[in-house]
Amino acid sequence: MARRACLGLTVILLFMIGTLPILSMLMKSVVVDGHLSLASYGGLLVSSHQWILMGHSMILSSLVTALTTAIGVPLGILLGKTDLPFRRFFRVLFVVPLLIPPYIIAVSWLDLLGSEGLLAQLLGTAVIRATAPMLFGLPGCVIVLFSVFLPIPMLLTMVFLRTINPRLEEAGRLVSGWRGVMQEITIPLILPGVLLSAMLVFLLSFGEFSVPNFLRYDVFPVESFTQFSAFYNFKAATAAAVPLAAITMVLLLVEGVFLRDRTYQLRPSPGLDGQALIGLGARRRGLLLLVAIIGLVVVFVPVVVLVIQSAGLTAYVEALSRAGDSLLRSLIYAVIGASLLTVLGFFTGYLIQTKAFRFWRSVDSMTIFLFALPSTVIGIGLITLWNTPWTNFIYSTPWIIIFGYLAKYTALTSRISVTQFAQIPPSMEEAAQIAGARWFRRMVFIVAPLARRGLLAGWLVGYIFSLRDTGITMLVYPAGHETLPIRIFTLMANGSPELIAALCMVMIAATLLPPGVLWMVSDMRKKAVIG
Amino acid sequence: MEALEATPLKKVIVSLAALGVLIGGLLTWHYTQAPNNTRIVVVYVSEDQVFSEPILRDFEKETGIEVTAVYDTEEAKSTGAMNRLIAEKDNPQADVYWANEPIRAEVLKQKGISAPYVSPLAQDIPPVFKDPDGYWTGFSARARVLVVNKGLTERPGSILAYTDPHWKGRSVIANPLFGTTTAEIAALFTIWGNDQASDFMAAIKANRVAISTSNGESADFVAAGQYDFSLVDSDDAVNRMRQGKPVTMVYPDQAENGIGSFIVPNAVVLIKGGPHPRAARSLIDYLLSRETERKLAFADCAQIPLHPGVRTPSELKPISAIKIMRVDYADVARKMVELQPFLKAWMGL
Amino acid sequence: MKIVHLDSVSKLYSGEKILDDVSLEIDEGERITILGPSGCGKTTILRLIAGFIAPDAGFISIAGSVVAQAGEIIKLPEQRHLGMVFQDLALWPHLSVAGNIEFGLKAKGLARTERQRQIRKVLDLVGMLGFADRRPAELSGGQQQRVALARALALEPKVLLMDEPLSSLDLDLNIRLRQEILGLQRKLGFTLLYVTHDRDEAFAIASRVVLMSKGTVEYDGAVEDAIRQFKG
Repeated sequence: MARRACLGLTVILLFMIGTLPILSMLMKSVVVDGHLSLASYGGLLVSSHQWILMGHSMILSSLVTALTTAIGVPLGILLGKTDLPFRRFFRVLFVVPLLIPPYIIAVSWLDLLGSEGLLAQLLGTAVIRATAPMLFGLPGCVIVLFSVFLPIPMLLTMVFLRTINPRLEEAGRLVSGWRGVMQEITIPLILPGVLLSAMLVFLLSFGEFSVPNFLRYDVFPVESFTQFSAFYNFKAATAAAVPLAAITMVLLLVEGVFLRDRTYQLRPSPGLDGQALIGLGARRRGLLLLVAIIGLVVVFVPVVVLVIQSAGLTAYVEALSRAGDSLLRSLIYAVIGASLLTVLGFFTGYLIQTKAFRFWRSVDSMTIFLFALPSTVIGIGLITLWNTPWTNFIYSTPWIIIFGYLAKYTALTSRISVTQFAQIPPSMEEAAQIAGARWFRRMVFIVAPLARRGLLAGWLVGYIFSLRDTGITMLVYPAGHETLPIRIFTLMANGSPELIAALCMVMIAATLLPPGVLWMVSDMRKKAVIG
Repeated sequence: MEALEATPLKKVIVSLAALGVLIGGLLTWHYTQAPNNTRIVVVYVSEDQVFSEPILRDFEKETGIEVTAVYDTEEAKSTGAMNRLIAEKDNPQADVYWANEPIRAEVLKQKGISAPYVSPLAQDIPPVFKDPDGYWTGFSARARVLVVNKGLTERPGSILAYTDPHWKGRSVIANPLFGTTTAEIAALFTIWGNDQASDFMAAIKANRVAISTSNGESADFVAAGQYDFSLVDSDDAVNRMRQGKPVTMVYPDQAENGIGSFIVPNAVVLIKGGPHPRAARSLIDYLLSRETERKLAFADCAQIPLHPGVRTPSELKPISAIKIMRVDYADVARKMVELQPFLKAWMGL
Repeated sequence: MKIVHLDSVSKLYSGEKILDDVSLEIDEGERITILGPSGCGKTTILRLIAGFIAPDAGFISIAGSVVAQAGEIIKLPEQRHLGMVFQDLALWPHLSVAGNIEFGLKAKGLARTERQRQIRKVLDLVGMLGFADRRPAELSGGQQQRVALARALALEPKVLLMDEPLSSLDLDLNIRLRQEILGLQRKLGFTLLYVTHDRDEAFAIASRVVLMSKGTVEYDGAVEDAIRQFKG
C-alpha cells in the first residue's frame, strides 16, 4: 500500500535522522563503565541553584512568550488583515531580527545604550550610566529575545488568518463591528496558530543561551553548556538537557487542554479567495504610528546601529570577499533544507492529521521535542551516528547539515501542514479515491494543490530557520564549507565590528530581498487585476 | 477543450525531482571528490578566526596545500571544535587541531584522540610549553596580566591585590567557569595546594570582586573607570592600549620570590588517524615556525613569541623577560575538572 | 443479481453503536433511498459501502466478492469502481470542470482522446457542455450539482452513491434535479443508492425505500407500500 509505505518511510526517515541520534545519546548517558547507571543524572535538579536556574529560565521564557504573543498577534492581524498603509513593507521589516544572530542584536543594543555606546557619546556618559544597567539581567534579555522572536507569532497569525472561511467572519459582521468579530470569532478561530507560536517561542527562548550569558542572566541551559564546553562530558550534558523533554510534554499537554473540543471545521468555501480587509478608518494613522514605533525600536534601531558601524564601502567589500562563498552555500543549503522540510512536514503532518498510525501522537511529540533540544545534543548525536567510514558520503558532505535541519525543524513544517490539512474537507480526498485514484495520485493532484498555501508558508518558515541555524551547523559542517551565520559567528570573536555589521547586512539583504520582492510583486499583480 | 491542469503539474514535479536528484548527486560527488589527497589538510581551529585565517591562507600560498578549516569561537559560547573532535574519535575527519590554550590539548591527549609529533622547528621552544611526549606543542602565547586604569596613583603588582582591603570593591574578574580564568585558578591550586588556593578565592570574594562575562568586558570596565584593575589576557590589555584607552598593563608577581605570570600558549595537536598525516605535519611545522610567531605578535592578538629572539611589538615583553608561572599543564587540566563544583559554589550557583 | 450486500453489519463510534446488525441486499438496477433523521446511521452505510470505513462486525460484498469484514477493509475505495456524489459535492476547486471529470479517467489510464470523448459525453448528459473550462466557484449551485453528477458518472460505475446531494438547493431546483437523476438512471441503468432525510425526495426517486432509525432498519420495502404506510 503506497500510503503505508510512504508514511512508513517518513517515520523511518524521521527516526534515522532525528530520533536515533537522540536515542543513542540517551542510551550512552545511562551507561557508565559498561553498566546501567543513572550516575549522569545524579546531579540533576538536586541542588537549589539548579532550581533557581530553572526558575529563571521559566520566567524569561514566559515573559518573552507573553510579550511576543500579546504584540505579535495584533501585529499579524494589522499587517495581514487591515488596510494599514505600508503593510507590505512592514511584513518584510519585522522578519529582519529573526535573521540576525540574537547575540549580535544584544551586542548592537549594548553598542547603542551601553556606558560607552553611541548614545553615551552623544548625550554624555552621565545620562547613560543610569540606563545602561537596565540593559543587563532579565529586562535586557526579554527585550532582545522579544525583538528576535516577534516575527514568529506575527507570521503564524498571518498564515492562519488566511485559512479562515470569510463567511464565518461575514456572519459575525452582521451583528457586530470588526472589533467584536475579532474577539469573538477570528481570534478563537486562529487559536491553534497562536498556541503553536507561543509554544515555539517558549521553547526557543528556553534554549537560548548566548543572549542571557552576554547580558548576565543565569539560565538553565548553562548546565548542559558547561558540561559540553568545560568537561566535554556528553553524558552529563545529555542528562542536563533531559528536563527539556518534561517541559515539552507539559507544553503539549497545555496545548491539548486549550484545543480540546475545539477541532473546528474551518473549511473555506472552495475557490473563494477574497479575504475582506478591515478598514481602519480614522484609526489608520494612529495605528500606523504605533506599528512604526514598534518597528523603529525592535528592528530599525539595531539595524541602524549595524549600518552605522558598517559605514563605508570597504567593510562591505571585505565582507563579500571573506564571505561571498559562504553566502552562496547558505542560500543553497537553505533552499534544499526548506524544500525537504516541506516534503517531510507534508507527510508527517498528513500522518498526524489523519492519525494514520496508532503512534501518530508520538511522532508529533518527537518532532517538537527535537525542536526543543539543545542543538549541541542533536549535533553530537548526528556525529556519533553518521560519522563512520561507510557513511562518509553523508557525514563529510553538506547532507549532514541538511540532516541537521530536518532533525531540528520538522516540527515547524509538520505543524503548519497539520493546520492546513484541517482546512481541507476529507470529502476532497474521498472523492478522488472513489474516482479510482491511488494514494500518491491523490496526494500530488488533489491534497498538495489544495494545501499549497500551507506548503508555501511552511517552505518560507523552513527557509528562514535553515538559513539562521548556527547550533547544529556549527557541529557538523564539513571543514571549509561553513555557512554565512557560522562565518559571522566565528568572525565575531575579536573581528572588527564594521566587518561583522557588514556581514549581517549582507545576510539580511541576500535573504530578504528575493522573497520580499516576490511578495511585493505578487501583491502588485493582484492589485492590478482587481483595479 | 482545455487540457487538465494536472498535466503540467506532473511535469513540474517530475522535473523538480529530477533536478533535486541531479543537484544532490552533484553535491555529493563534489564533496567526496577529494579523497586521500596529499595536497589537502583539514584543521579545526579554536584560535579566533580573524587571527588564524590569514596564517592558514599564507600556508596555502607558500606550500600549495589546500587548507579546509572548521573555526570555533568561545566568545559566543559555542562548543564546536573540541566536541566534534571527541565525537569524531572513531572516524577522524581532522588532521590538526589548533587550540588557543594547552588545556584542551591535554584533554585530547587524555582521551586518546591525539598522536605524538615532535616538530624539528620547535626545538628551541622552552620545554615547559611542550608536552614531554610530543602530544602537543605550544607557540605564540598570551600572558595573564593585570589591566590597570591609568588614572590610578598606585598600581597593583600582584594578583594578591584582589584580596587587599585597599582595593575592596574596586576589582573585577571574568566568570571563572569559562576560559583562561578557569585555567589560571586551576594553576594556582596546583601551585599553592587546595587549602591556600581556596582561602585565596574566599578572600577575593570577601573583598567584593565583581564578575564580568569575559576578559574583554573586564578590560572595558577598567578602561571606563568602573573598576580599577582586572586579571585578563595580555591581548585584551594590548588591544585597549592600541585603541588609546586609558589603561596600562602590569605583569603580576614578577618579584624574585613571586609566582610569576601564568602563560597561555597556543597549542597545536596532531590528530590520531587523521586522513592526511603528511600534510598535517607540514602545517604543524608551519605553525611552529618563527615567522608565524612574528606574525601573531604583530597582529591585533599581540601574542608573545616563544622562540627566543623573535621580534616583538613595543607593548610586549619578550618571553625571556617575563617571570613565568611554572606549572604542569597536564596537572592544570586535571585540576580544572576537579574544581568545577567548587567554582560553581563560589559563583553562588 | 445482488450487487451490494451488507450482512449483519455493525459500526461503533467511540463506544456508541451507530449501526446495529444491519443487513441489506441490493439488486442490480434498483433505486434505493435510505431515509431517516440525522444521526440514524444512513450516511455511515454509504461510507461503509464506499470503503472509507471498515465495519466492526459483519461482511460487505460488492458484485459477489467480499470487500470488507469486521475491522478490515479488503478492497480500497479506489478499487471498488463506485460513483459517489458527496453532500458538499467535493468539487476540487483548483481544477476546471473538465479537470474534475478527467481526474478519474486519467487514474484509470485512458488515452487523451478517449478521455476527452468521455468528458464531452457526460457533460452532454447533464447539460453542461459549454462549461468545461469553468472553475467550480464560477458555477451556480445547480450547475455544481450537475458537474458533481457528471464526475461520478464519468467512470460508468455500476453503483452510484448519493449522500443528500440536493439538500442545499431550493425546492424548484431540487424537484427538477430529481427528475434529471431519475432520467439518467433509467437511461444508463446503474444501481442508485440515495441517502436523504426528505420524504418527498425519497419517494420521488426510489423504487425501494429503507427507513432507518437509531442504527437499525425500521422498514424496507417497495416505494408504493412505503407511500401507503407513511404518507397517508
